[in-house]
Amino acid sequence: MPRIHLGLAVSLSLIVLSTSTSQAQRFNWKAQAGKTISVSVVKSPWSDILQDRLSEFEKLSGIDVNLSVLPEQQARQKLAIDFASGGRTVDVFDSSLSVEKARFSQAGWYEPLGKYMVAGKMDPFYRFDDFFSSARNAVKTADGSIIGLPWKADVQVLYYRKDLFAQARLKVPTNLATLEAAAAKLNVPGKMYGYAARGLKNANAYTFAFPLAAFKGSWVDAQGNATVNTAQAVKALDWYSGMLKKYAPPSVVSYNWSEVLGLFQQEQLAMFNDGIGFAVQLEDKAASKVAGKVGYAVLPGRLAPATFNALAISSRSANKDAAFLFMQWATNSAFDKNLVEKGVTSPRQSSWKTASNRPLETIPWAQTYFDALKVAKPAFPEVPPIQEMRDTVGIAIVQALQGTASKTALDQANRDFQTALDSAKQ
Amino acid sequence: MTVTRPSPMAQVSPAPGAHKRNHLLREHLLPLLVSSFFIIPIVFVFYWMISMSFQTQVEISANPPTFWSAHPTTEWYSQLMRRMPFLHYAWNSLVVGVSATGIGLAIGLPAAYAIARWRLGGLGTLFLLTRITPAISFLIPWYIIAKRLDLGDSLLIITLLHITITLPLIIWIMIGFFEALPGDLEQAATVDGCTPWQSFLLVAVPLVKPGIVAAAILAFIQSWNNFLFAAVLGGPGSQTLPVTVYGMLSFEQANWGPLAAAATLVCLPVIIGTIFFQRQLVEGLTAGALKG
Amino acid sequence: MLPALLLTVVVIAFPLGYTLYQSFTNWVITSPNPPKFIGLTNYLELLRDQRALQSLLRTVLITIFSVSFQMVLGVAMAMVMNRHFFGRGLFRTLALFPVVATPVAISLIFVTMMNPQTGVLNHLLSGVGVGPLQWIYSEKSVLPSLILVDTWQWTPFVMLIALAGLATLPNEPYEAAKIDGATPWQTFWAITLPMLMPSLFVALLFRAIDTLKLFDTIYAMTQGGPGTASETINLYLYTLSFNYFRMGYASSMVIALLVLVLGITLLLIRARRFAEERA
Repeated sequence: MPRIHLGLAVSLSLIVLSTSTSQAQRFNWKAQAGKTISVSVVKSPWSDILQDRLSEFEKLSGIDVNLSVLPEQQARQKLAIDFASGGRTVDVFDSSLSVEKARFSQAGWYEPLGKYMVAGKMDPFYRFDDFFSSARNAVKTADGSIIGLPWKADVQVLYYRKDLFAQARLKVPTNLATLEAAAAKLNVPGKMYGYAARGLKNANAYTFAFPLAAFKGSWVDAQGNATVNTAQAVKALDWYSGMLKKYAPPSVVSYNWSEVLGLFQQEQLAMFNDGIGFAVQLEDKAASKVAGKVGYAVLPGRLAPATFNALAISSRSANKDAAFLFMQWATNSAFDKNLVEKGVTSPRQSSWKTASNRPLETIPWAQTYFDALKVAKPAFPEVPPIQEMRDTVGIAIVQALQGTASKTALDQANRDFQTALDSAKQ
Repeated sequence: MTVTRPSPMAQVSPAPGAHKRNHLLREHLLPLLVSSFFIIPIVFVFYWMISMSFQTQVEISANPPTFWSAHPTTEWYSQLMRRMPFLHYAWNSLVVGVSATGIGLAIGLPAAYAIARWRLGGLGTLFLLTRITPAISFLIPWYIIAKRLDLGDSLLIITLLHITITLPLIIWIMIGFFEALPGDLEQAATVDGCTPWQSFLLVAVPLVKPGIVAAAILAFIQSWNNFLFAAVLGGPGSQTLPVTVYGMLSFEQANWGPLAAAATLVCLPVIIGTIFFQRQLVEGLTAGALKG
Repeated sequence: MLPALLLTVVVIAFPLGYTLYQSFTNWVITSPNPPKFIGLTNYLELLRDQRALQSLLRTVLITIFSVSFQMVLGVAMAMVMNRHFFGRGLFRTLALFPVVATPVAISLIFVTMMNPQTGVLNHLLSGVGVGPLQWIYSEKSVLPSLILVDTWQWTPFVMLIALAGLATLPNEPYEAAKIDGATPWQTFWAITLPMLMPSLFVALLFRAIDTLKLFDTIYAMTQGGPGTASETINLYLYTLSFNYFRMGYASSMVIALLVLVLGITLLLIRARRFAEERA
């Protein structure tokens, strides 16, 4: 008996030993031990998780990480100044691809990741193909090189009060006409606003992308020229400003997502469209009055403007290998699995389909997110002057809200946008 | 510091009863009432800030707004300390402020002295220009220099930029004080064999001590309150407090609770300093205005 | 002495010189090409830039109104605070607080107070029957709202200068006026105000220059919005530099602004000297 036990024990330990050794041989996390890297990310629920778990990475890799977490605008400015002064301060940075990709790649700030995504430098369990196809496309530049590892894929959806809809026997809107009808039915002046969306300049361009797509308009044409004053765009702006003027509070002109969200949480709003990423705040029972009463739907017309964020390596970094190790760890399946619980819209399919907490069944908005991703299209075009575009069109939207004719406002926006496009070609 | 003008009333010996009441009314109650009209809006904003920092989330988002918290909480303050190295940022603000002021004094005092003594009025225009120039213009050139010189640490860079705020301010204030010094004192010193530097250090500086205190306090306050420089250049280790306050409006919902707490903590040191250094502060603020 | 002086000039002149140089280039931070010298092109574009001209107009508007309110209220406050009444010391201390408080912090508190739906200001106003104001959320009321905040913060500064000035006023004119039977109102206009002029002028200059530069408050409260309704020159500069990355063009705006303000300041100083000599 003891001999059998001994034999069993020995063989078992041999098996375990060989497996772990071979695993260790397959990927060496400690290849860059002793190095220090600087990471700059934009403040978000994801960055909170990153901060909490940073020490895991440092232990795993032996790399020291200086993590900087800043609000989006500041993070971007700092990066710009850094690059402008030839600095090598940042190794890994968080990139809002929808806004920055064309501009930064034109400037040569992204380090192409092709030569890092090979055996020996990349963990074989990483599985880049696990990302949604739209996310995989989002991190590629026009010439096909991958410049980042995605950590967020956000799509616009329709948020609505399912309890109010049920009471009024309304069905989920499938086109703009039924959307407006629902808004009109639920609108009680001064108490319940039927529909709202971002009005704040620059931010409003994101939610405007919805009607723009609905009316088959676009930001630029195939040649990369501005097309924000076409007949379709004018109709889109007429619709958007009309809806806001009729069914939203007058102060909506300065609303960013947080004000719209706040209005909804205060039970004063029946419907709005914005990124799905905010859903987790609405379902937080401790802070939200509407938790459990929120319905989610793919936007009428099966539309889903999307934005993507990724981690990228600075082309000027002196520690690119160490940087890549970090990026992998922060975007691999193990890390991402926990994100969904915390409400981060992870771009990995496995995080949704195979995660043990079964998000598709337990999280109220998960299915809508999944469905929306299937029809997701980038909210913004891939041209460098995205900020200028968001500003100029954003200003036009504000003007329309305050009484200017849509065509007049958009004509000016188009001129300014075209100027920006032209000077970006220099 | 103020010269009291004898009020006309004081010369009349108060008659009993009615006159005394009238006196009380006109000399005390009326000005009190009228000045309250100004003071109440001032105090109200601070009250709102402090009270909001102790309210619960429900009270903060309540409509109608909560004037007096029924369940005051310190959760925002503890959250502030937990979620971020708030004390570290406060320390940053302090270090930057003290350094920028100190260096500003070290350079600015001799410079102001030189300008006052040698009547370099033209330079006054240069300082005017500096006051007018938007802070942004200082940002990039100095940042690039700092990078080229490989000054690495961001706190150093921010301090350098703050010097562009403190230095002109100190000089502007100190010119007035140095100009007000009678020339014969330094004449006497020169006759005694002092070098210009010695007469500066041993004669002039001690005489303008109140001015130095005032200038230093004002410079420190300007540095402490500065937002732009650290906002653009601050990093994880080198952020200062005003940026921290603004950062509360981040990805998540505008966190009014922590924001109010952060705002209170940011304003607290300067407010306390104001209470204790009131006199010097007023002197500094009004210097230059009175030499006409 | 000399090294300190030289250092000072360098610290101040260097950024200005750098900005001047940049204004003649087409430097865009994100451009893959190095900046080229383009002479006066930026300045010519500036003249045709509607957005720049409008932001300048807003800057001037805000400055004129804000400074005017501050001057009037500040002097009024000083007149009251000059009396010796019970509690005066406390009030004077309290009055200092807005001036030293951190602008960003205070501005954000104002944002929450000015919320049209849930803000306490509208709540108080509704108590006296004034309808909900939109404050910073409407292009019609955003500038007045910002002027209000700036006035709140800096009126005490003017009050302090006026108080200091009042303290140095001689007694004789007042006694003479009393003998002549002048009313307090007449005394104020004919004696106090003219004698305060020199101090007030300096206060005016300081405030005007600082208000022209106003940034923290506007950035924190509206970022120039709604749309561009509160976009001042400084805000536009910031956007150009850090959102559009057009450093060359932004530099030309800074230089143009400096020339403009310097010119006006020198004019004001000269005018005042002229007025003094005539008096």
